Amino acid sequence: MARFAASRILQAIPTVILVSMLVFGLMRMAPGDPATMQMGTEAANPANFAKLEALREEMGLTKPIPIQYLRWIEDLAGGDFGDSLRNKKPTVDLFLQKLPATLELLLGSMFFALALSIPLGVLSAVKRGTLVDRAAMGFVSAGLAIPGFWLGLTLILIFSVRLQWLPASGYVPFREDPAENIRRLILPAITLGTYLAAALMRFLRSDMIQVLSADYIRTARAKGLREKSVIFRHAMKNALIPVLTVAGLEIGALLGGAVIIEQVFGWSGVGWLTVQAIFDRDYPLVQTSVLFITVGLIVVNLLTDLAYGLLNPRMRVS
Amino acid sequence: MATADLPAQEQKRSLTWRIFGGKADPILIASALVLLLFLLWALLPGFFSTHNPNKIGPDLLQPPSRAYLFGTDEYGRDIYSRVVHGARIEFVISGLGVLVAMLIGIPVGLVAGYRGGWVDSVLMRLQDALLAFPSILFAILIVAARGASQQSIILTVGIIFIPRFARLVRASVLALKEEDFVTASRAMGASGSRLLWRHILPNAMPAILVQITLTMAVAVLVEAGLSYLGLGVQPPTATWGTMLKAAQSYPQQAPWYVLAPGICIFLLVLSLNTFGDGLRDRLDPRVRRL
Repeated sequence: MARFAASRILQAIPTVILVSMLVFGLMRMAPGDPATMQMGTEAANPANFAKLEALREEMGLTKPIPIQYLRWIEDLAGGDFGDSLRNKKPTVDLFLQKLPATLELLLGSMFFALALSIPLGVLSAVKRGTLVDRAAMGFVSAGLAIPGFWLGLTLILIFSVRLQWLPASGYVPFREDPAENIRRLILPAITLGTYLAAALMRFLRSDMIQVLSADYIRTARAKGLREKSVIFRHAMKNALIPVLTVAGLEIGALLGGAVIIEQVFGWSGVGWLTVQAIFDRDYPLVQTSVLFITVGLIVVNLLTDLAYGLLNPRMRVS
Repeated sequence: MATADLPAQEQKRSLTWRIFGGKADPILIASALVLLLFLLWALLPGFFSTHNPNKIGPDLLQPPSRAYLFGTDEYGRDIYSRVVHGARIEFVISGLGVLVAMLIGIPVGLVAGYRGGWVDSVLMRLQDALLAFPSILFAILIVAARGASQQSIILTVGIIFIPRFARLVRASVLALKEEDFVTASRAMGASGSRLLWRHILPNAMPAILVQITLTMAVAVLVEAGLSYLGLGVQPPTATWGTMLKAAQSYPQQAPWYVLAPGICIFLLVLSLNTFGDGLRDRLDPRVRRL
């Protein structure tokens, strides 16, 4: 296990470095260099040209790009992620402030997806070929094709505008009003979780069908165990491990979706922050949040991999 | 992935026969028909639309009627005609995006799989880095660097989907490299590039074809999401995503507004997905889904 863990961690390091290079490189292609951005509208005034040049020199922008990249990494290592151009606060603080909302949304969607996909996936595998199975497969095809934000708009139309059961948008921190917080979470979590539910259901179904045809299941049945016990105690245990792994690896897709869904429901999380930052041309903020989210994902994927290795010894060899 | 040990008759048959010949598959045909309809919209929008898609009219936010099949939008434009005209952009962006991804991904996969060693390691770590980005976030970086435009989306789709093709082709190369027919042709003095292009790539073609349709489906969703955020194709050009963005402001006055563009995106993605799955069942019988 230690060797497996070490090799996975070693594999993740170059990925993180390459990601940081990509983020740095792409942000450098953005119009206006950091010096121009810092001076704001004054940079356009020809009278300030000398001042701009001096600032560029001071910020190290006249040095070659690889040196600039290394200095940037040095700053990051020291905890300096730069200040937001809009409100001059450190970008890390802004990001961390919005993170809980997004984490809550992810948790809610993950919960919805698992709660829906596990029973339905198992059911459709057990009742393979029946109407139930076909209905579940219909949901899978639909769930994989439906654009999340459109589903969100439609749900708002039905449950907020027509029925007026649930609020259409806005995020209320849990500390302020727990009940309202949960009420507002319901629609976005369903919207974001649908795609994942469909993906997991499809995966669990085929996984379960394979497990059910395994020898040890035939043995369990031959022993005279009740079908319930065969399915819940023997088959599901093995079928669920890969599903949970897939769920972990799909957090990336979930986060990508969250960027859009947060916009639909006015959910002020990190995705919302990033999109706002783009419209404000607040490039340091965009840079920090993309870097944090992506590196965070690499870590989550790594942990998922390690957990899978722990649960399934066969993985460690390959 | 390899088709090398399929029955000989199966191998001799053309790709077209293997897709559409033999026993008819109703789902495959249905999805092909839907795709064909959208393709016709994209090719001949003028023939199918009833109004000028950008002509502003006096009837704002009208419900569907005989004159306006899907109603009108906030500028009195005919929603049906705008939906028809939007089809072309969906195909152009997803098609060109996937083309870019293939043009880079396939050679990368071929070289990585064939050369192996450090070349392979470096190229694959690059793929890992690209895969680490959620596609929307990568799109946001590209838009920050180049501004929101059609080209930016194509570039985003093109870059973000490189790993899909690179990994697929690399796996095929690794599987086929040691096959007898490849060894035989190497023994006859075939060069590396000849082996790759003439022997290995054709055998990976069915899997690539499947990947093209499935990737186009995701590309459509990415485009729609970006346009919805306002980071995609800019108004007044009609795209399904930008129409949804506009529709969002009128849930009370015009609830039907969100229907047409949303259903079109849904149907296009659904038919690309089912067409891709159907293709996989036909072309790659050994990975047939349960």
